[in-house]
Amino acid sequence: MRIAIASGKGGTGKTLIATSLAVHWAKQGKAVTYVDADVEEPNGHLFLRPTFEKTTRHTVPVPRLAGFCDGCAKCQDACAFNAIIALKERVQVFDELCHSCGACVNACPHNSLKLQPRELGDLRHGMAKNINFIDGLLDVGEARATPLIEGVVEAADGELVIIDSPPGASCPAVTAIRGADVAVLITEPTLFGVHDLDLAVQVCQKLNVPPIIVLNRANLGGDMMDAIKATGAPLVAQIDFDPQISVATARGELAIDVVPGFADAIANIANAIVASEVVS
Amino acid sequence: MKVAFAIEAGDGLNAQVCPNFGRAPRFLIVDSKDNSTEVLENKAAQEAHGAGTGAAAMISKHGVQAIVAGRFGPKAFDALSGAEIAMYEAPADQTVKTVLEQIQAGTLKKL
Amino acid sequence: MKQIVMLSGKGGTGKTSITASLARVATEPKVIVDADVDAANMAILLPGDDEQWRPFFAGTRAVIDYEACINCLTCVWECPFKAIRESKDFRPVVDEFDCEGCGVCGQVCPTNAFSFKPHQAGTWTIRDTKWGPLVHAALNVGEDNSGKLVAQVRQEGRAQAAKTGADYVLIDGPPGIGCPVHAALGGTDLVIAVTEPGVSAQHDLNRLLDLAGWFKIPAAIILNKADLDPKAAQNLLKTAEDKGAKIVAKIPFMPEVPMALSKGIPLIEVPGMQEILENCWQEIKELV
Repeated sequence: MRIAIASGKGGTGKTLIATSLAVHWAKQGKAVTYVDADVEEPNGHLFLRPTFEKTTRHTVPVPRLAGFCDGCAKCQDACAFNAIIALKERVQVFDELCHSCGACVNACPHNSLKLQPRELGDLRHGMAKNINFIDGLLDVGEARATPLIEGVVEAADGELVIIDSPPGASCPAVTAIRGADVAVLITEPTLFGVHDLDLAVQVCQKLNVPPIIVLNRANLGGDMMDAIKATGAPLVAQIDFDPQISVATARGELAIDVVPGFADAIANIANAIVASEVVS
Repeated sequence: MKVAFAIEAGDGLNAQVCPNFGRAPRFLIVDSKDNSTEVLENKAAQEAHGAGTGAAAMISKHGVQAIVAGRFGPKAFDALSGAEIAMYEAPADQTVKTVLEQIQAGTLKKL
Repeated sequence: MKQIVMLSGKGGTGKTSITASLARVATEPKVIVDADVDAANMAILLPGDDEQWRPFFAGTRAVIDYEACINCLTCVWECPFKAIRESKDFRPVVDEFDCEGCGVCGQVCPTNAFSFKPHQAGTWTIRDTKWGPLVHAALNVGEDNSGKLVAQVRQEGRAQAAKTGADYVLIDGPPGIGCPVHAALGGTDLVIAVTEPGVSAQHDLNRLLDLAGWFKIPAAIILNKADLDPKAAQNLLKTAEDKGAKIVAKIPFMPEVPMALSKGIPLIEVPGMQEILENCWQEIKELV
């Protein structure tokens, strides 16, 4: 089962819950893979502390001139992203704008453009307490996270795959959630939390990934039940704010190991996730 | 010599230089031979991606030798360097006329 | 006129709430820009009347002319984003959500059945608030957050500043360090990193400060929830020192804050906050 842990708003507790679920299931002897798909700011490794076994450089294909060029600019005209421009007898490629679609390669009348791999970040594989760990670290200055997010998500396999997604409801979050069997949306009882939750639910609907909601820091805020209900997705669990959880998390400790009661809260969420599969 | 200016507000030689290159709404091309001018709408500013590179590609097709704007992003800089077009940075509140005089007098230096 | 951008790296550090609060305490004429277009929340905190919402177009989407289409399905195989799929009646159908408008389908189609229509990716408007004009936008879900909408709201923010004679443009930036952050950062006079003690935030702060350095823009730090973990706070302060970023405010953790936020009560009405934020604003002004 592939489970995306997502949210509209940042800082709602995705990584806390994603890493805790991984630990919970691993303790039950399940084959768990944790994927940190927030490649711009990956934090899962700070809590699971994996031993990294393999790091590869992840690449995306970009066009390079490998033949005759007369500056005809057909490649430039074909590119929807202004990523390749024609100069006098050569081309200039702007890798960060390139979407690797190959339209320019098709357009070149001399067949001179070839797609070649370009590195944009690290893809890391490791093990942490019987959990298969995968994350990606986007190079600083790289503009597009999406190809690396795709890379880490595709690299993940197993009985239970937990995808710790980036926040938001645009391209990076979509790439992480796409293909999951369920999306667990973590929200908080604030105006922002619920506003952004609604956006996240819309993303799930567009991707045909059924969403379920977990309300974190449930006691620290207003009554958001009506607003949550209005999103149309079921609320399956609540976790109260506990300063011990915050302190443990700030220290990089696993709350599930040190905070009494938190393990039960996580077990509840885990059961709700498995139950959702049965329903759909 | 043909010099292009990224402009935001105003007309002709009294137009004001735009602080951005790639997202400038239009370019004014001045032919220093006779001070004749031509306006180019910057379609690239409307595109999601690569405004700087798209704008560079467009002005290089017009036989321009130099370009003036408030600042050039890194991709635009690469594109314009590749096309061998000289770049000048000028403050946004100056008019085309003033900057053109500075370039001709040699008081404004190329990037 | 100075442009100040509030960033965080990690989400949930309090960036938007603090930006809205600074807008409230600062008495100078200013313009506020919500550049976090993926999850635009400033409008929730700064009430006012919006002008008519304007559409924002970015990119194109493929459109099939079924009169010309011969169902060869070459486009289905060739689409690099798997955005064209075979329907139950064996015809190709474009999924507008997945389509990126790259044009490869148009290149490979033997009967020229493809055209490309402009795509509305979001909306934007200007709101008249007590604290200055607020330029804000909303990107439709799932859109490519390329930074174009960010650039648009920033450009509009500059135009409003020129119109109203504002001294400052306060920009609420997006989380992360990718494309939209670049569009929010470029050409600003100061980056303020809103952070909190803790390993996640520390890690992300480092990456954010590196990015500001790469763009050669000076950075300052607001340490939120400062007393949550004194040791982690110390580490953060050391990082700030090492990277030459000044601390402009240290805000203690107060449970009243999330309660207030959840009810839409402005941060400055929480006891103690007004003074902290006023001092913060003074520090910021000195830096620009």
